[in-house]
Amino acid sequence: MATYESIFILNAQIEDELEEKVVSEIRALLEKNKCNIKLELKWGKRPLAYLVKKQKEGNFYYFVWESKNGNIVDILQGKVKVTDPIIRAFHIRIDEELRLLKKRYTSGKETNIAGVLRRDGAEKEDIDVLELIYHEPTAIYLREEY
Amino acid sequence: MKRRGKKVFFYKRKKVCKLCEEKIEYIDWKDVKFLMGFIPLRSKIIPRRISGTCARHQRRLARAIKRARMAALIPFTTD
Repeated sequence: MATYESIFILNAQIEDELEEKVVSEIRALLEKNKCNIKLELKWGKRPLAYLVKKQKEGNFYYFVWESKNGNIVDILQGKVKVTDPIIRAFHIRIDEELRLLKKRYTSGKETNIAGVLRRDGAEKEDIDVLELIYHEPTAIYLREEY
Repeated sequence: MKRRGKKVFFYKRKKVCKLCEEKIEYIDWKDVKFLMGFIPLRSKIIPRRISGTCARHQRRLARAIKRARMAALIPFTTD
């Protein structure tokens, strides 16, 4: 099982109904391909650091999912291409990073995760590393002029 | 008093990798506040010879910054 995280930036000017429809379609596509959705978050409207498809603002959705089949990334990107409201999307395999982090965390050595020095991992072996590392983007860099 | 043929030594403070010091293992591309420390003004990534970051961390840092750029969280360039 590989873990992936993906981000979908939707056009901020579309109606709420259409937005919900697009997100539910993505969700359905993941479930149809036997993916296990671990985390689904709406970051909401955020300014973009530069223009993306002539948009200054975007609606951010963040997914973390597990899958055995790597082809799903291609399927998702195919879906993104034919869906107009999605202005940008990409997927990252975080498998290796999570594994390394977990190994380090459970070895009892000091690790800095999200700004906190942690050393107490020696006893807990079934820790959900995802919970530890996750945090929303703290600050957004704002350009005054486009 | 003049000293001939003697070299004058300057003591330079040795650069240390900030990330090693703070024991950061995983650099999150979503942590924009942290990444901003490595891309001043022109939003170009600071080279290793200036910031003193170790090779391993520089690689991870560059990857995180490039991912954040893709997500339009930080800009590619600033004028």
